[in-house]
Amino acid sequence: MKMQPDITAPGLEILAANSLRASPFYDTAYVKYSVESGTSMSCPHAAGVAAYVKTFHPQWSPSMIKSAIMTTGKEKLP
Amino acid sequence: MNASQSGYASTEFAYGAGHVDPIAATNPGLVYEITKTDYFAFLCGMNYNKTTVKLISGEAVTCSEKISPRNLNYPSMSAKLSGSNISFIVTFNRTVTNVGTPNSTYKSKVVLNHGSKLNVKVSPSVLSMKSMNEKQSFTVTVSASELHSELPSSANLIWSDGTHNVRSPIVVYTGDFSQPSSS
Repeated sequence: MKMQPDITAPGLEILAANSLRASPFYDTAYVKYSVESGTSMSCPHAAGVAAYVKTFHPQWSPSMIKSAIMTTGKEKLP
Repeated sequence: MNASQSGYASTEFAYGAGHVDPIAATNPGLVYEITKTDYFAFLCGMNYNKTTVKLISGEAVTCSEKISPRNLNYPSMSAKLSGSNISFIVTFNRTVTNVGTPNSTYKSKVVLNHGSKLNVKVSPSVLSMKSMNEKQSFTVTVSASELHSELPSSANLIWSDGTHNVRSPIVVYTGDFSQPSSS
């Protein structure tokens, strides 16, 4: 049983803060910011959308917020 | 269509219900709610026993209520079927809660995706919501005489009141389509 389909959020070539102690991933430059891809970059976008919805509807449960995000997801971007 | 680079078919199991739209998500019109009790009935329906459910729930659960996993009140619908050249009928039970406006009427629309041979019926096909937070239940019946053995068949259920379009993907599939394709 998969809890799917669910949702897509941006995750390709995302600029984010980078730890200088972390081993290099795609980007081998040792700087405080790095461009990376994958669910690790996508997940914070999804969490951010959930937090954004919560500011409009503080009483909504997690399942209501997830439903709101899924049912309004776009198949094709403009 | 394949997802970029991976070689995996790009289906609803890759892109989900779509791409997040934060502003639209603040005003969905209807929501599919799932309570703690619903999750217990879901886990018990998957034949987890009282002991194993308790490991997840942290509290005693009697498993007096069981539901088929596909009837968890999830905002998308999917079912895995056995065999490919058989006719089948699957049903999904759902309940929506009105979070849009009072006195709204939602009409259902089913849009089949490319190549889909599904027959999808929604009953009732119209939901009248008089008040805020009102709940209405409906049943989606999906049937077909054959299914693609490698790719899932899909459609979208859209509840619309003219302002809100509440869209849920419906996916039925047979085989292990998520393996990298040979082409």
